Amino acid sequence: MDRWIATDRAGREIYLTQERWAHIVSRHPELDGRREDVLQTIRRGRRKQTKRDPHTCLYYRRVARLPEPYNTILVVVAFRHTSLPSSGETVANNFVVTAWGDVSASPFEE
Amino acid sequence: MKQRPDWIIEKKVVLADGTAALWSYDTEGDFLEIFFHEAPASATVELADGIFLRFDRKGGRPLSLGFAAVTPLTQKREFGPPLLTLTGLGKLPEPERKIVLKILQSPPVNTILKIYSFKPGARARAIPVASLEQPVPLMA
Repeated sequence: MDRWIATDRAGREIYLTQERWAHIVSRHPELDGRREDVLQTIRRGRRKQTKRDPHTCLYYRRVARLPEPYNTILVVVAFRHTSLPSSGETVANNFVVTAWGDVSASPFEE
Repeated sequence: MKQRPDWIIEKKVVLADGTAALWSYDTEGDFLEIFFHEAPASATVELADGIFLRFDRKGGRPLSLGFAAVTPLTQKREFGPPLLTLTGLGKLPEPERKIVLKILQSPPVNTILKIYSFKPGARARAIPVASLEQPVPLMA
């Protein structure tokens, strides 16, 4: 399965699968053609942990090239663990859940 | 035909006010999004921690409600369902706040997110809080 990997500013590797990307674009067409911007949001954006679940984080970053009126990308990332079938070793399983174009009414704006 | 991924549960639902909505739950990411209308959002607000309203500012209509880490919100606690403090409302400029408040207090959003005023003391300012009504079980 195709997947893309981005490393955030703290060195955490997060992947986005082709299947999830197709689902994101079908529900949030403003991100069509902006996959690299989504990955860049993980690499360079600000990160906020949700209080309800410390294993779910939001990444957001202003992006100039989005269709009007969008100006920010928000990415939801799940931080999970999985066991390798071969060795049983527990490894990180950090993946993009969803993403969408955000606009300036957001309280994220500084 | 393109198959839907096995980690997504999508259902067309009719809400308590008769509005048709699309209920989309990501079982791996524990993310719920309820779509009311398909249209470009002209604004998005984080109402409470990890809870988002996408809306059409001009028409004053909701497009979708998104809930990150939704499962804890559906679990009953000692005294009942958990309440959310709508901190996002206080961060909005007044015109935006009025639009969002009207959306929250009207169908179809008020059939899913019930909002209340909580006044911790006679002289205290009211705090907007909400609880999640769940018309469809997450894993059904």
